[in-house]
Amino acid sequence: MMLIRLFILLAFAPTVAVIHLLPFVSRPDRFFGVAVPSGFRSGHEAKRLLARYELRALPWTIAALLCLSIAPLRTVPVFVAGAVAILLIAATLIFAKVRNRVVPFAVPSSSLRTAGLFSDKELLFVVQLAMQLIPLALLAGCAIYLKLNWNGIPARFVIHSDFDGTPNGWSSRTFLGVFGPLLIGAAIVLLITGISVATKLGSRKTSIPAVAKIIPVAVSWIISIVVSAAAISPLRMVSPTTILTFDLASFLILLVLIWISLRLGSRAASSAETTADANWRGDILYNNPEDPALFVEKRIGAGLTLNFGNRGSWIFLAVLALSVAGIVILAFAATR
Amino acid sequence: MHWPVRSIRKPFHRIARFDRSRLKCTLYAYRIQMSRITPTLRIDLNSTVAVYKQIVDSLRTTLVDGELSPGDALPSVRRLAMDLGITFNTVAIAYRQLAEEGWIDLQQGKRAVVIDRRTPHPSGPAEVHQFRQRLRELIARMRADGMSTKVIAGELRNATARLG
Repeated sequence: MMLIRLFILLAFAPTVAVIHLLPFVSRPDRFFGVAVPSGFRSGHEAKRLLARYELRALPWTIAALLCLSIAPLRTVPVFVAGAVAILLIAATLIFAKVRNRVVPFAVPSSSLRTAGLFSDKELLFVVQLAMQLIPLALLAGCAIYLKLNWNGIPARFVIHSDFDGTPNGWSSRTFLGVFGPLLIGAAIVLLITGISVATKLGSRKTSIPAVAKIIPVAVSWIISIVVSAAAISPLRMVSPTTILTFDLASFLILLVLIWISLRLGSRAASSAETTADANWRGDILYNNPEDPALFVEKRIGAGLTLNFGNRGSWIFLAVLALSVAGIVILAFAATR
Repeated sequence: MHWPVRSIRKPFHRIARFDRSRLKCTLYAYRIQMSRITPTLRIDLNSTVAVYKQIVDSLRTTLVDGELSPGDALPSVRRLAMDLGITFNTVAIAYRQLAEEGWIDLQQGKRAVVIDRRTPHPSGPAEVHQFRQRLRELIARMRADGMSTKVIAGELRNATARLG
């Protein structure tokens, strides 16, 4: 029971981390999304505002964690969804209030734009793509192994269990039932690679740290290994405990990678603003039809966000939504 | 070339039995490689000068200064427009003008390449008069911004010396 509770709290941890660490991982020239003078972030006023945000968000986090700790196990999914939603809404409102207090210190955005005239990092990107696509070979290898041992697979086998270990999901020895997980894994790896290519071709040369480029590679490998283990589980070669342990370890490794990438990214990001204030709505949504970039640097947090003024961004979103829908439909078909 | 010994010595000094000379050679090679400064193009969207003209002027200065050599490929129109956050057309117009001036070679489906530009014939009296007029306007603007004649003369001397 304790282990299950711990697992639930661990699943909830990313939401808590995002809420409480968000103000720390933004670009060095921004504080709560507002452009501030250099040195402001380390000043007394900034520390006071940061403490204000954290202290106001903390009671909500504690309340959510308490609810998840005492809620009956059967209703936990409802409680998790509710806690995440309420916590996100509360944190957004607190963030907006603190942001309003930062606005008086704002400095105007620069109208200068710069661009390097050499591009010499294409080879590194090709290596990154190759590393992302290598896991497809692992999936193909598993598919061949399953085909060779087709007769050893039971006619009906367990694919999912309840929190207390009671099986609640079965599949059968059909093409989709056996190869479905591998197809889903391959689709996810291709989707991640597609996103990497789109962000590379559709964004400015931002100073993204190398560790951030490792994340899609790590995710591709982790998904391929988990899916391969799950696919060959009907042959009883990998125990559910091993898969669960690997999942948890991978999850922790990814968290560390994401944290390092966010910290390095927030330090290395260019201090020159490349987007005009007039094209932002609440420093969250970017809309500039004149800007050919599909992705621009976020103002709140770290990473990239879409340029909704560009038609290509909507096409990207549509393709992404269709791909996710396709993967979900494939998952349903495989577990029917 | 300045070698920042002090900045790197401290952290490595503590490592026992460390082959510092070898490290120094490696870092030196890396430093030479990095010392080829990437030419940068800079524009100001609030300037009264048209953006395409700023690109042309900036690229021309880079070419005249020799920061870009014949054979060097310029970024594609798409890439430069994206990096500067401006429309493709603006960059395309700028590239076309540079091609007309004989600085770059534009071919369909290929990236613009810097070409060996032959020195044009000496300008006639009309062109000289036009350049003189533009120079006088620029100097008047520098004076209006508070620069002394000594500073302006120094800047002009430096600029012409850099051109060789």
